[in-house]
Amino acid sequence: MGNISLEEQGLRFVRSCFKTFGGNTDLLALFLLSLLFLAVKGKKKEKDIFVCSAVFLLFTVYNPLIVKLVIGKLGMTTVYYRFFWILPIVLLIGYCCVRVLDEIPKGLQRAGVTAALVLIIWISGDSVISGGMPEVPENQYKVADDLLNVCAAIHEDTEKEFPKAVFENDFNLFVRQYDGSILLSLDRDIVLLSQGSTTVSTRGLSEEEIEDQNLIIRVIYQSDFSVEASEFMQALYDTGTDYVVISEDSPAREYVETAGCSFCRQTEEHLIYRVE
Amino acid sequence: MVTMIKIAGIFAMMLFVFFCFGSFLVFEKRREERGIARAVLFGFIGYYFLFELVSFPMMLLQTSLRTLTVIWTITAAVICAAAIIRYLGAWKNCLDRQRAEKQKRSASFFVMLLLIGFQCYLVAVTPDNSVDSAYYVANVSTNLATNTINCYDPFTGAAMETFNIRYLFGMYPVANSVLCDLTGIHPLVLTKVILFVMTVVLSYLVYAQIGFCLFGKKKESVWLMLCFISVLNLSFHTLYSNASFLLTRGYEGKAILSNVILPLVFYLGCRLYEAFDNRTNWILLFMTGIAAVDLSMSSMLIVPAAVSAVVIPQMIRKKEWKKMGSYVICMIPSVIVLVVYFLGSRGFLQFPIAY
Repeated sequence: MGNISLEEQGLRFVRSCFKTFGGNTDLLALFLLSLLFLAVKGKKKEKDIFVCSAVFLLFTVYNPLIVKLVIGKLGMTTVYYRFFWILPIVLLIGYCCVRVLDEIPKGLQRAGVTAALVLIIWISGDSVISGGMPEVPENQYKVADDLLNVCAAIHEDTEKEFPKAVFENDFNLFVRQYDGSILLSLDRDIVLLSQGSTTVSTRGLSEEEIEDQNLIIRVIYQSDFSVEASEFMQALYDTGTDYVVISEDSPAREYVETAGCSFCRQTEEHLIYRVE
Repeated sequence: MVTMIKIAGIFAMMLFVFFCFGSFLVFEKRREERGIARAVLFGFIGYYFLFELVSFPMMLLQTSLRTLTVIWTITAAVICAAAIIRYLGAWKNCLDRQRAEKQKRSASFFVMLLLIGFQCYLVAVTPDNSVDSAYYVANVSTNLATNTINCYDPFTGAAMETFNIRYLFGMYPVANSVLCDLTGIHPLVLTKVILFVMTVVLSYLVYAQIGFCLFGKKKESVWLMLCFISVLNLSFHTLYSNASFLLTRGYEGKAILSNVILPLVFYLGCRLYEAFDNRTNWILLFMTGIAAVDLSMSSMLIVPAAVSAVVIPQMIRKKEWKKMGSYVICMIPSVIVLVVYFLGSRGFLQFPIAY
């Protein structure tokens, strides 16, 4: 949760994280209600297992003072939300729903209450398929077909076992997942930093390396053509880049060609340039 | 078609290997302890526990990935063979007993299967675009392409000077590299299809076990609970929830931590509630601490917190102070990892890579 700072929030940090953890859903409220239900009406075993653990966590891991003193010192504030995974949220709500139904004899009334509970959960939540069902992938690798074509084209053209290339954002994350023998000029975290991320770092890269990558990002990702062509090419040489891969309709196409990269191959949607 | 058969075959093979590993913990015990699902879950822990112990030193010694694949394959094969020889009879008895106890299946059982099946389909086709996949999957591809273990930066492929302290003990991607090296399956297919579905299956197996702990022999209540949990998982879609991780990034170590490991710790807590002295439960807690770090380095703080949450309140309530030693032993692996991580991230400890 990069946008929630312990320094700024102080003792409200835990509460802010908890609220953000719940997102646009009201399921955390259902969880707290379920916990209250067991605390008041639960059997001894239920109280011992669910409620006691929750109270323990409240006084330790979710204690704002301990968070400030310990979690802050360990530098884990951006990933503090992971401590909420310890809470058995879906388990407790699901369990309490069944406990409620167990009190109702089988029949139409029980079916009605079941449907009502499902509806409450559905309305309180935000469905993972609210944006529609995912389409069946183009291939077994679940990446764009053209990524396969680009990788094959690069390997056909080069004699190197490990060629190095610049890719646009849509491919930069996935190329090495598909083909570990293609090296990348642009580090994932440098790209994320250029896009405003606050949860990654430069991880020990030198200043020159960061500067070279940022120059390339300015041209290829941000269409900043005020960068001198000679500086752009120097950045490509310094990073050891062999190829630049851009989409057919990339605004950087003319710049890349004019700067000195020579056209190599074309796939269905991408252009591959050699860095001579 | 061939790929589909391969996917199904590897999935079944993994379940069988987990089952064999877990048999040593489950089928050695009295009849009431025996169960196929329990053996698979405990075997899952046993598998990654042992893999951590085998692969971590080999990584530091910079042995090749192929060497690790051979050694681990032989290790796993020996364990599976030993399990088959020792427990085949017990397996048959268990199956016969389950067939004899078979009741007429209720509607909730089939609805549960439908909902879980739907989630399996969903994750099998979901094209995951998370930035973390650039680490988890590219690490597998990188190890395979270079025949090394974590020596090259997964993000760029550049040779690293030291092992990345952030992922030092997280050997899960290496386990996946070994599987790919052994079977020839592509890393993307292994992670984003097979392991993605596996996480969903394991998660519901854990919830089922918790359900049996809470509801006893009332199977219909357990199936109903799993139906509700399915609806909840489908509805709890936020950027940070475990449900989101399960259904959008289930092959990542963090997703397995939040949806399999942590519920498993809760399950072990339920078992401890019934039998605080049971040695198997404490052994499993200890193994889970190490297996969890193997799967995700985030476990080094989160799992000890979870273990403490299920153990300490019970220890206080039951006044079982003599088990404090067992609790401390369970914490030791995480403390070691935490200390190494703390020293490494501040530059006091480094693990250089020689080329």
